[in-house]
Amino acid sequence: MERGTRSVMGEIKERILINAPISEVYNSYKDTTNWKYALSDVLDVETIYDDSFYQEFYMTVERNLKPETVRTIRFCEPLKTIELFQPDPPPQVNSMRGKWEFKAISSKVTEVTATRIYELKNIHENETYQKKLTEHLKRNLLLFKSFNEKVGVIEVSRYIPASKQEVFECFWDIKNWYKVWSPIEGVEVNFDDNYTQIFTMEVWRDGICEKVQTIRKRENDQITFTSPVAPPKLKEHSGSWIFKNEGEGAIVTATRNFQMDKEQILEDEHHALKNYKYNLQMRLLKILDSFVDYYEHKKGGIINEIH
Amino acid sequence: MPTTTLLKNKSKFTLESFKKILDQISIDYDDSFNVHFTVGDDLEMDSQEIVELLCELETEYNLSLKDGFIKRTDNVETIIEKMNEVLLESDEGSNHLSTPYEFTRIDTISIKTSISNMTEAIWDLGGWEEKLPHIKKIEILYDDNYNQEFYMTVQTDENKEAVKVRSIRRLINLHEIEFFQPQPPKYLLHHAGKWSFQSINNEQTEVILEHKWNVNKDTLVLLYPNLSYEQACEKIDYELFEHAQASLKLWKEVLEA
Repeated sequence: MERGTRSVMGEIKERILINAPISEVYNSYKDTTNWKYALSDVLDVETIYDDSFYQEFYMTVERNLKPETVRTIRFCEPLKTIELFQPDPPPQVNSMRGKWEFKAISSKVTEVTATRIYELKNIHENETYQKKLTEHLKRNLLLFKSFNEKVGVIEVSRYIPASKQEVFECFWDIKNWYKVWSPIEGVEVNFDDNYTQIFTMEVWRDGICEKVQTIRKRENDQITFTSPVAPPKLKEHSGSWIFKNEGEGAIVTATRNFQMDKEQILEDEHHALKNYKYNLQMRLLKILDSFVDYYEHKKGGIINEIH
Repeated sequence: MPTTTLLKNKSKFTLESFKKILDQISIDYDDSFNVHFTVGDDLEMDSQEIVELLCELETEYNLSLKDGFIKRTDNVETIIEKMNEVLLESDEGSNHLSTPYEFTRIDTISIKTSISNMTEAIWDLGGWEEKLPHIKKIEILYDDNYNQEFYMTVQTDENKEAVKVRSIRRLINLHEIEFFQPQPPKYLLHHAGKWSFQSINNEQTEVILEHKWNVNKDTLVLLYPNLSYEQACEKIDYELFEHAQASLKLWKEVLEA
């Protein structure tokens, strides 16, 4: 083996307390169909085998804005542990295995401990890899906590072929959003001093025209917002648009946090949350894609003019 | 014989439940059998049969029972009480804990070798082609010392075509190897199991081979058009019994040679 590229074993462990009964928490992890509702980067799950104790499946996740499919094998011990390994591990490692352990702290609180054990191909990458994997694991635990505590959390991104500043201003310019995003029926700007913005937007969703007031703020590289009166079916609704330089363009990330209003929904709260989250996530991706299209056409137009 | 409808955790453990378990591990009892019978003197169960009884209760009710949970001096009434206590404790998670398999069987054999040799022989796939004549080829796809994935080409009869199966295994508690077949034979929907090893003394190991499965009801009709559902299930159970027995006997021959 080449000198300086020795492999190294690594182990990380993270814990979280979730305010939900152990059976619900265990099931949220065990049932792979939940994953695309709990995590925004899970695009699809294809089950090869699942007898509820043993599972083999392909999970397609978005990594660096590209789909990546990973095969996972899991051993489930009901209400105790779910152990996993990836027979075709990620390129940086020789092996990747781990487990989730579930412990009932009380009838309504569950402790989840997640462990990952890996053999990294290059010892020199250990610090960076461990840090990245720890962040990823912490984030996954937090997202499952939200899912089990019935809080909707979404985070989706797209690359837009224009400078960060130009895209930021375009997202801030709410009066002209209709040029990019067609479901907007009308916008009335109530206040705008270029740092704080209050507007009322009429927007079509599922065949119904919703009138929603939003308060937005510029904060460095992001636009944050809240809805003083949450949209229909929701109790709380807030979010942000985050802008980051990426080559000659920008990556725009849309985040959302929301809770369903039990008094406005007829179905089971968890079911309603899953549906709402999935639909909102799809809608956010459509909005982001429409900005991508807008800038691609704009760029194409300029190129055509030159030629 | 295949197990019949499984008792769920919420069901109270009764004398009838106990009788069913005895039937499943082929322990005979006559009409005079009652709750005052003791395991050792009246049912004449030896230590191996008591282990089998414990395993069967664990499998059937998806419980983890401590060693010594059943003693030779226990009568049936005591066992029923203990079982109901354990089931009550696990009642909260009963939906999760009920076994997903309709059929299970356990086969055992005593082999003259140490527990470490025994575990190593089953876990080390590298030696299988040499030791086991019916294994034509082993292709290891993944092995991290705790988990394995491999293809195994098996030919039990020279006149029959070799069969290639994919198997996934993991080593637990040093002396247990769990396995499942993600793409089971056409007549099965699910197939999993476990090798467990118990040391009798330094030179003797009890090997317990457990198979758990669900049949594929859709393909069963096509594969066995002349058999009823029950007959087809019995045929599968018998085939798995023969397979398990052949496998255990072969390992005994290999390790005691």
